[in-house]
Amino acid sequence: MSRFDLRGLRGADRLRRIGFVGWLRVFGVMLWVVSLLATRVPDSTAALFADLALLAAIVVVPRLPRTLVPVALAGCLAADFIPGGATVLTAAATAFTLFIAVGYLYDIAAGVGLGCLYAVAEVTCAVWIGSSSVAVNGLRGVIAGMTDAARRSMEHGGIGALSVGAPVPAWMLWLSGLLLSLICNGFAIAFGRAARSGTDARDRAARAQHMVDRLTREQQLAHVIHDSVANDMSVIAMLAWRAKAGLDGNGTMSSTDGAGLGETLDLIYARSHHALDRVHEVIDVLDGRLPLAALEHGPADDGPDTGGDSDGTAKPIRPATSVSTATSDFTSQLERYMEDQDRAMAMLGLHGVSRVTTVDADPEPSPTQTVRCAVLGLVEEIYANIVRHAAWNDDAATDADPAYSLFVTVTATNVHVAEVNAVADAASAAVLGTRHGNGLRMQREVVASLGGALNAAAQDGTWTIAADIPLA
Amino acid sequence: MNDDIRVQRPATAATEEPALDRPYPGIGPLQAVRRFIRKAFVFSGRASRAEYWWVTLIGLACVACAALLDYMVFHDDDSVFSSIVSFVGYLAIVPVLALSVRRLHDENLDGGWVLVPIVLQIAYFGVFSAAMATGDSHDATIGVLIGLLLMALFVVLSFGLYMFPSNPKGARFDKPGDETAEIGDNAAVTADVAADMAGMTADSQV
Repeated sequence: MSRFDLRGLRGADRLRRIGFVGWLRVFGVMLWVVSLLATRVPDSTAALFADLALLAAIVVVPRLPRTLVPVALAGCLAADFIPGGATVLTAAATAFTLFIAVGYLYDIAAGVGLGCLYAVAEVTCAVWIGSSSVAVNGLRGVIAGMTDAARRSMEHGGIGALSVGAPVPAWMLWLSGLLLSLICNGFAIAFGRAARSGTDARDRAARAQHMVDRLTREQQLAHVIHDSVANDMSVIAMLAWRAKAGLDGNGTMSSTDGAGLGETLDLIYARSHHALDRVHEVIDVLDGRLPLAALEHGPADDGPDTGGDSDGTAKPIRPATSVSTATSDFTSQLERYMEDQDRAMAMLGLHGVSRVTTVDADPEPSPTQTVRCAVLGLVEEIYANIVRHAAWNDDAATDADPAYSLFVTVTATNVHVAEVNAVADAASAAVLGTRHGNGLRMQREVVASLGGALNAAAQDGTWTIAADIPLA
Repeated sequence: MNDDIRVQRPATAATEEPALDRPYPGIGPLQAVRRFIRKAFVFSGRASRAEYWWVTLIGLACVACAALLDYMVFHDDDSVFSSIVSFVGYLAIVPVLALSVRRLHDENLDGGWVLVPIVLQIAYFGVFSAAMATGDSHDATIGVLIGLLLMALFVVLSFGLYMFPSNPKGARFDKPGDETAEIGDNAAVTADVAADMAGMTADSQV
């Protein structure tokens, strides 16, 4: 029973871990003390020993409940035979506590069986064999009391019906004692049962929560893996394809000389290195060497950290200057990242337009780390999709239609991301064989979890994606 | 901390107070009393164990305090405080019935069960009166015994009926139009995440 293994715990932790059976033990001891005080200090050695044995039963039974409960109940029955009924209350208190334990630990059939058996034995012994029982003694006492009251009221001229010393037939005493005992035992068992189902429900909820946590973590890891590798791999594949086309001499790349090839290979090297680093980080997380939160930086956070502003959520109140720094950090971070991507795209032959604008953002709000991650992840995903699906325009001059147009607008309340590009025919797509991934779906989930919306559509050869992410 | 959790979860999941027509497990005593008053005449919906027992406990504490005050002030000569408390108690009969019915709903029991302790109480009063009025001592003894049993049953049931834990199936007693009942927010989220995971592994490329 690990629940009772309290070594090494202290204070509130101990209390929380005690669990129901532990509390039952405390309750039982208190009930025992009250019963002892309500009767009298045991006047015989036998009564003293019986009381102590009952106390021991209350204390020990939760250790080995399944084997000890029936034994302890038999002990309660035996204690009823102490002459003079000195232990009748403590025995009843012990039995009550034990029946709560029975309800908690046994299934219903076993609990009801034990309760009935004990009631029959207790009352039968009390009525016909001469032991004591709280139910029978109590009934006798109440009837005697009412008889007394009736006699007194008669003496005072009132109308009393119960004649003095009216004998109660044994079978009637047995039956009512049995019913009373059954009611009490049944209540104790039902109480234990109720506590048990509450505990079970809590355990189920804890298990469900645990499972949700695990699945959430796995989902986050899937996100991280996708975010880390998808874009880099797409670009590498594209660059390699372009380089080969250049080497074959039938490509469309304008510069097929060694310098251009070297540049492409440099980019491939940098990209693959980057991807490898990210994969190593993910592996570190999977190995438990790195907390998952460490990977929750935006994709552009790979450079030197721009100071302590990266955790925007941790300090909700900050001076105004710091706020504007945080936002400009964010927009400049975004601009830097988009410039890098544009350069890579241009090298691939995709000449596009991208712009970050800030509108009406004065005073500028500070986006939380979550929002930053979401925006950067979305932009990264958009670039990855451009590589995979956009139509080429590298034979056209740069002042012709751009291959893609990406606009990020930061307002006081929202970040709006919009992108348009012409979709290539399936035949001309360079990254062949890659199935439609689920990157966009994951991005949509992230955006939706922040209360925003993401819409994407392909119509008449044009791919449009628009996202609206609230800052707060 | 919460940045780690990217799963979409209903905003009201754990942090906020459940809607007024939802059970509120782990409610505090003051909130329980506030709900008790605000829902005084609402016989639909459910009430958590904490909701019911905080109100009951506070009511019993009021009765006990009034009796104590009476004893300290009037020394058994008068019972002004107790009278006030019982007057308030009579006013609260309908709200208490409503709360009991909602608690029974929370256990997935019909609200009619609330009548069982009431009937038992009336029955043992009646049996005791009959036993005192009858002229035959044998009948009177039987009456007293039966009355005692009925009283024990009443005591046990008026406690026991309301002690069982919440059963999500009790949502059937909610007002119609609340189909989004939280039959375990956790379970729903789990199902969502599981579906997502399944989808992810099914078409996991790149």
